[in-house]
Amino acid sequence: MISFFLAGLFIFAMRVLSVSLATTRLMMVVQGRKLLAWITGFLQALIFITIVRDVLLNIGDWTKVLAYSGGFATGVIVGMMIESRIALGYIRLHIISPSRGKQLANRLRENGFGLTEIPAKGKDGAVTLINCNITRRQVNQVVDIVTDLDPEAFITAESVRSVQRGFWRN
Amino acid sequence: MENLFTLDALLGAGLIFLLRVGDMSLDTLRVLFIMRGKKSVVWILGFLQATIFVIAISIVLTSLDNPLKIVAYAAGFATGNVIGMLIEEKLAIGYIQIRIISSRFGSAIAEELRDEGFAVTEVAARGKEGMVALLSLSVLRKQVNDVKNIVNKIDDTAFITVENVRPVRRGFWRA
Repeated sequence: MISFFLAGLFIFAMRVLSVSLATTRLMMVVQGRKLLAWITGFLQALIFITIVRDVLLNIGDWTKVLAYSGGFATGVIVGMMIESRIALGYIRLHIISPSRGKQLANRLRENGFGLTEIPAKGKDGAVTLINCNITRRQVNQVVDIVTDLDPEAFITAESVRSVQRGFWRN
Repeated sequence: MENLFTLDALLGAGLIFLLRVGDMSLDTLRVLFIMRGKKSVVWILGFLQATIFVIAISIVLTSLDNPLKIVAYAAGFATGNVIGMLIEEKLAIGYIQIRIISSRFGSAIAEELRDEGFAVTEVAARGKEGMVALLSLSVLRKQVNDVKNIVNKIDDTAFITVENVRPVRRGFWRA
C-alpha cells in the first residue's frame, strides 16, 4: 500500500518538475533567450525520457493516471511562478494622471526611474501621460509609488523588447 | 556498457537527435506563430511536427537501450528548440512598433525617416532635462535594423524601444 502511494507521488513530482521546466522554456522561447531555452529544454527532455517514459510504459491503474495529469497541471502553474520570480525583461508603464502628473514625474525621478511626460487630453480636460521604461522586477515598486501619490492614476503595462540606451535604474 | 560507442548505437543516437531537432524546430515555430495568430501555418506545422514526433518517440521508447540515445534525445530536443527560434528570426514575420526618444534631434530623425519612406508620428514630451521628442512608428519586423541605423546616424544617444504589435488596420506602411 505504501509503495503504491509512493509510486503515485513519484509520478506526480516528476511531472511537476518536467512540465515546470517546459513552461519556463516556452517563456524563454517567446522572449528570444536562446541559451536558457537550450538548457531548460535539455533538462526537460532528459527527465521526460528517463523517468516519464517508464510511467507511460507501465501506467497500470487510474491513480497513476491521476498523478500524471495532476502533476502536469501543477507543473504548468509552478513554471509560471518560477518565470515570474526570475522576471527577465523590460516593461513599459503608461501612467495617466489627471491632476498630479508633475508630482508623479518628480517623485519617480527622485527614486531614480527614467521617464517621459506627454501632455494629453482626456474626457475632462488635460491629463499627463507618463511613459516609463523599467525592468520587470521594478513594476510593483513603481506601482506602489504611483498609487501612494495618486490613487486615481491609470496604469497599464506592456512588455518591450530589445532596448537601446536610455535611463534605466539598476 | 562496453557497447556504448558501437556503430549501431551511434547511428541510432544520431537518428534520434536529428528527428528531435526536426520536430522541435517545427514545434517552436508553431508556438511562435500561435503568438502571431497565423492559423493556417500553425495547422501545417502542427501536423508535420506531430508526424515526426510519433516516429521519433516510437523509436526512442522501444529501443532505449543505451545512455547515448538518452543524451541524443535531450540534446536534439534542446537544439531543435533553438533552431526553431533562429528560423523564426530569419523569417521575421509580423509588425513591430518602434519608439524613439531624442532630446535634440527629434525632428531631424523624423524628416530622415520620412525621406526613407517610413511613417512617423511625432509627440512633444518632457524628460528630466527639458523638452524631448518622442517618435512612434510601426514597421515590418524586417525593417527594424534599417530604422535603427538611420536613427543612430543622426543621434547616437537616442533611446529606442521595440515591441510587438498585432495585426493592423490602416496607417501608412512602407512597402
